[in-house]
Amino acid sequence: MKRIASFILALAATLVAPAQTTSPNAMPLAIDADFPGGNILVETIEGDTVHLKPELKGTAKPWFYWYFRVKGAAGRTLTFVFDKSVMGVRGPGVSLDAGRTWKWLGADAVKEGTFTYAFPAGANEVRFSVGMPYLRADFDRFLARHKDSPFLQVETLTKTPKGRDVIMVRIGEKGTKARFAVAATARHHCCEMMASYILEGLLEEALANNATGRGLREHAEFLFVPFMDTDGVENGDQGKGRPPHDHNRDYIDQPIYAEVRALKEKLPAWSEGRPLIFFDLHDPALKVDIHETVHFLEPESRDQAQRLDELTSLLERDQQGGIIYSKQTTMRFGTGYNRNTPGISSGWARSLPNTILGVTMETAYANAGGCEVNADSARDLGRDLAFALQEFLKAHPELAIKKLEGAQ
Amino acid sequence: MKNLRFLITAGTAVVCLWGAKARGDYIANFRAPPYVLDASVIGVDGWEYRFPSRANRPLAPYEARVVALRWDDEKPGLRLQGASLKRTSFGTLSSEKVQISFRLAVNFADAAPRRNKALRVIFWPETFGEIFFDDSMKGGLGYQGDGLGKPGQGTIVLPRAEIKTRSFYTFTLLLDFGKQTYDVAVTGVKKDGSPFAYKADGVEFSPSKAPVNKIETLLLLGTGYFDAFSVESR
Ligand SMILES: [Zn+2]
Repeated sequence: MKRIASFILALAATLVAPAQTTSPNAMPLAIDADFPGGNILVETIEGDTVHLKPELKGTAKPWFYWYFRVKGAAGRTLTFVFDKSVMGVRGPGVSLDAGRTWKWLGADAVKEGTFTYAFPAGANEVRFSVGMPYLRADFDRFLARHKDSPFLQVETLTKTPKGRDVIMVRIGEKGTKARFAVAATARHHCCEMMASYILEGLLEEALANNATGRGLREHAEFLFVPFMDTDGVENGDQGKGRPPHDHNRDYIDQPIYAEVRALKEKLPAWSEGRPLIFFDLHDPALKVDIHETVHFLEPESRDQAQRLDELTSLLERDQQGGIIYSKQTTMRFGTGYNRNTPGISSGWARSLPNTILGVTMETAYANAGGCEVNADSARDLGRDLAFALQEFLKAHPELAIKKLEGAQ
Repeated sequence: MKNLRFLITAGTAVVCLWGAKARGDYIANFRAPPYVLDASVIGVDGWEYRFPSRANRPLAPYEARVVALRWDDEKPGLRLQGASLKRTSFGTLSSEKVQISFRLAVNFADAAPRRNKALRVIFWPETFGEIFFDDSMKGGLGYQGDGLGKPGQGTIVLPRAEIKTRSFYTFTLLLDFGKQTYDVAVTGVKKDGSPFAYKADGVEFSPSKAPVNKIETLLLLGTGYFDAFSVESR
């Protein structure tokens, strides 16, 4: 009942927002989330103060994803009041170009979840979010930039219940079969958008016409699924903890989600027994403690843990991006929340006979050990990871040989 | 026509290098032999560990490596990571004035200041001292005469908060052994993208030291990027 009431209130606010405008001819103030990825509940608008909260959209436990736009506020200064638990450590992400590029408003602009924003005179539309939303349209822009690449193949993994294509990208040298298979997924938890920029950096480097790109493609073929909960991403869902279980608890005998069902078939078939490395990218929580670092979850198997240690040593050694990664942050198996969680994607990947490393990579939303996480620095982290991966593959031809022998 | 232009350009470059070498000057741009991409500079062109025992550390081969800079169009540069190295023998710099120039870039975490100097370029004798990145809250890019490396000392030319990370700053030091002074110039781009330039002329060599008339040793300590190093008689 309460939910319905707040929805009506939000609707009312959107349709009949108080006309606190600077001139009688100006557009009335409108706050909405009626666009891909949008998510907001407007509770009240009183004068220049707006009370808002994220819409849970079916997720049982409180979560922090929100993304809204404001129109008709050019030249005004408005205060937005959120609960502090849903505000990141560098304040909200702000976009003046309809969500294409983002900047953090900054920690100084926020107090206890409340921020005040002076809308520039010409800003007819400003978007705000808990993060820096990354949607299918962003990925399409990335693909458009690389549409002429001979190494890129864009396919459809499956269709979602809402009829959307679940995009899958393969990267490799034409006409050759690379020894290693490398796969990466993101957005099993659809709200975790910063991981998408890392994935984009990884793709960018795998496609690059430079030493790293060539080295990567010489050793590996790549498969990427950028939106493992495609409907959730576009709907602006929270996704994490989605009942009865979320996409990253669905790697069970009878998966309930189309994407998971399809990947469980596709990945083993595509890898063709080649030694497989699998990354699943996440942003597990908004802030505090380990959630303000970049960290990997150590696999239980000693061999895989050792390989992760080597890969992260290379990442630490060779990184050049704005996020300074330290491998000390690796969460050891059996500590924290790194346990044998049933149904998680990396656990399933590790269970495949040809997997040499299956790992979850966790990134922060806004702050990683003092470094600003943003679209650019997260992309650079992806590029750094690609570079380290290339070094790792180059150093381990024996892993490919061993797997081939094992297969025979 | 294009080829002709190339020959002229190449010819000019050869003449310039020849001229430079003739004066016993030193140039290291890390982009051509003897420097090799993805290889340590230790043992190359006069670079060595400051303390030979450091050679035994597992990560020693990686502390001073020529790498393709992914933030600078893959151009090669010297990456320093917890480095401690030195270079001696700068040839016969006979003139009274010597110009030293190089480029530095740093990469640091915004909210995690340390209390020391994260990157130091030290010249011995240390009277005209040291260029540094001081990674403390009140630090930044700077220089000082005595080369003692004490935090909070020296002249900060660009505060920490205004430094653009992974962007080269060009330092030029014009030493005047006759006057026992030096001119310092720094150029680059600030964090907000605006141009940055600093200049101080006639900075005195450290008065507590005996007069000097040559450069003996260069030390590179810490973490960052170093490039386009030259020592030139003027
Ligand atoms: Zn997640």
